[in-house]
Amino acid sequence: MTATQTTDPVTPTPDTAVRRRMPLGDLAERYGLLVLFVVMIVFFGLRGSTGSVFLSHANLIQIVGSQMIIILVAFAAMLPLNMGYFDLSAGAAAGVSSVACATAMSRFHQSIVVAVIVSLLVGTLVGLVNGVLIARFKLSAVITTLAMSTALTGLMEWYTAGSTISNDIPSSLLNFGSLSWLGVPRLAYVVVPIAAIMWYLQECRPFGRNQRAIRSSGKAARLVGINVDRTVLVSFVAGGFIAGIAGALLVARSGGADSTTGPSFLFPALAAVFLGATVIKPGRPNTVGTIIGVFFVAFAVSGLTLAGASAWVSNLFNGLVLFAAAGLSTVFSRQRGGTRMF
Amino acid sequence: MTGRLTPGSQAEIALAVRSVSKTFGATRALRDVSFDVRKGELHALVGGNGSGKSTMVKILAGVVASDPGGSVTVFGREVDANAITPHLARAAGLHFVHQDPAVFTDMTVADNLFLGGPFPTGHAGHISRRRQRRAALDVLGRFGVEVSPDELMAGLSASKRTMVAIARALKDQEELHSGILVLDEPTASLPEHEARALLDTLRRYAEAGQSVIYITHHLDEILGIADTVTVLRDGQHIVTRAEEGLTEAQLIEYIVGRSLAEVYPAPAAASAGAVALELRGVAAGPLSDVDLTVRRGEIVGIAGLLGSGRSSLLHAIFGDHPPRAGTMLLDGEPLRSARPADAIRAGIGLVPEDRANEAVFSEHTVRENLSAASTVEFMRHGRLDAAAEEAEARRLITELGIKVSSPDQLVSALSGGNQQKVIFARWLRRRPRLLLLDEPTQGVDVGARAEIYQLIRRAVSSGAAVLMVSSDFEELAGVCDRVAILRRGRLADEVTGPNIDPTRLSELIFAREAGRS
Repeated sequence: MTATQTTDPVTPTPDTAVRRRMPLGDLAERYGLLVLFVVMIVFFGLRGSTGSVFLSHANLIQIVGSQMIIILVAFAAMLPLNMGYFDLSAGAAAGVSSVACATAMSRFHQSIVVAVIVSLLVGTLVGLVNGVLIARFKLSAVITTLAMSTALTGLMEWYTAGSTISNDIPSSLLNFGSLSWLGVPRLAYVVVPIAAIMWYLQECRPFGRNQRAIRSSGKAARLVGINVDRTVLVSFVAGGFIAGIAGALLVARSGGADSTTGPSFLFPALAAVFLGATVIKPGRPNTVGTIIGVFFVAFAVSGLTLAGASAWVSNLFNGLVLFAAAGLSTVFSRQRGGTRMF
Repeated sequence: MTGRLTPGSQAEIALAVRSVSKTFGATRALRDVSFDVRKGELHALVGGNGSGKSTMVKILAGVVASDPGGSVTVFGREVDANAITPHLARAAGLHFVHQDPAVFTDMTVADNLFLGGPFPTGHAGHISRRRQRRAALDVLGRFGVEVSPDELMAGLSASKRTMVAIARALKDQEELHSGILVLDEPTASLPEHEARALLDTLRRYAEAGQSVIYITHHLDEILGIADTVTVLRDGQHIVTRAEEGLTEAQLIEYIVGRSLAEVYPAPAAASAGAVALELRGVAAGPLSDVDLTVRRGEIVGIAGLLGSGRSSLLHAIFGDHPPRAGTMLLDGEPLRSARPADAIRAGIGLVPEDRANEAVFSEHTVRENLSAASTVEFMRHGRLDAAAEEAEARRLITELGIKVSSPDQLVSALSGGNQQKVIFARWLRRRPRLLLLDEPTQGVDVGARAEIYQLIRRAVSSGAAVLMVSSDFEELAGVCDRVAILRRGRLADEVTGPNIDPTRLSELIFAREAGRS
């Protein structure tokens, strides 16, 4: 009796038979979002009213350049999310780093190098505080980082008094943020190597495996010799460091720093990580998936805006994407024996 | 209502299952299963992991639809087996208590009884504490559960909690002697004496006319307790027969399908070598002042009641909760395990009691689970070498006879026994000097159990020392060279070789405990 089963009906025997999922379903799961991405590009590209602008070099460069910082914030949030720990302060950490970076140049007349170092230090410090509170004192990650995010936002509002810090920022930094080399936004020359390192850490090093083990069961992870507390701490600190880089690039991109831009990156970044967890390695956050997730949202919003939708479409779209991504990634994770992804 | 019927007589059939089959993809979980349950009997449903007994229960509960063709008759009312819904099952008088029933420990007994509704309400539609309490007293009284409705669940013993869960399942049933109660491994998480108390209650229900079907892994919860036994194996019905005259050997043969002349391995020639583990004055958890040695090639068992500190001792040695005091030596060298990673480096492995939460990474593949304690070994040129990892996984799967279709199968798809073999393989591949086992055969069927005993023997004959905690005295007697008895936070006695037998162990644990208190 094989009923309607289309897969190999042979009873699996140890060692020889390979368990075959329906290959088509597997592929659809793995690359479904990519296909959707292509369909969307073709749709907006061929549509009379949007086509010419949507696929123009200027628009592509604009989208890619503007998403570089969101990719970094998404990486910052992804590092703890790999273990199932939320970091709701990734956006605020990037924001406060950008304010520190701009202040160093604008108010204290420091060089770009010093300003970037300040930005990295501030981001890392935020990650360190989060990490110590969560790994050492076992505070809830959601609450801790929500508190951190709120406090940092307040701090920025106080310090900037609602204005943008943009005086005396060297033009070489601004050029770096807005111009291209070889037709590729200069920011990408920073982000691509970071993405490569993220991928390597996650897919090729025990670190990535350990993070997933912690997500699966912290207790079991400890009992196979994984130093759970240290892994959690390192993940938050590394996330903070990347948020610090995002802060510096934010100053380069927008020519200054204010209290609202950084925090506003959190939700697009989280949406991208969740969306990314539905492709390539469905059921868990992954580097390539996150990048695809960022661009998927960006291109969709650009297309919709060109088609006449106004600014509200971006928030609405991000929200809907978060719903869909959370649902899909949970389904995929459940198929793999997990419960909910986060 | 029919009068009470003594079990064993030509009693009314409460439940008749006919030709029920269930296919999941390419596997047939149940094939053409038929059996009867008579009214007022205590009916044990037995079988190894993957035998289909849980599927059977799920079909009866209407949670899983069977293949078309079968039928189920409850008190003379016949329904197609694939048409059962949870509502229909309930209306027909079938009540279910699932494994690890959901009880809320920080709420009272009364709250727990009425969670899921309907709550006894006052005129304004609010939950009336007074009415709820009265209704709870009524339910508890009807089902003979001797607890106060105001007590917090957290304060109850595990068996009492299960009884409250049973009362909750039965509460809308008017009388004790109607209905069919189905329990999926009700004793799985209970220590032995609590399990006994629960089974006594079930026996009382059965004598009052309730038909009770229960699933269990423990043969000693069938023999001398059940009226009737139904055995399933590989989805097929093997036998339904009276317990009377059934021997343990026969029962094992029904379950495993072959005569297990030796479930327990032949003890190794007494060739215990040098001292591997030495504990002096160790204090951990409720334990203090523990002196214990384990030699190479020796299996030492630890017997004690739940909460006697059995697991704490293993976790202390493993560095999970370092001991408060005392010295520990491994092969004569001080063992300083501040965290499990240190113990693992020193050559120790731990198979924890709670497999699902503390051992298995359920979202990971078998391959990843096998290498979890040795990830660093598979680094080649700065990256995890999946090919080397897979080759090693294949080797272990063959060597330990783990039943999987591929190393990349998810470990959560495996049966309990095979998951446990994966955990064993995870440590055995490291050639441990000391293997710590906490209830190594819990939730493992008889067949796989025998294989696990072989694995333990094999580890020992290749020079490891084994320290093993078990609540199953038969198991301790069958496997261990020596058993240490924990009592009142101390290591109180030690039984060696031929003197280890289950009755003696229970005596040492229970009798003297009672004598002292």
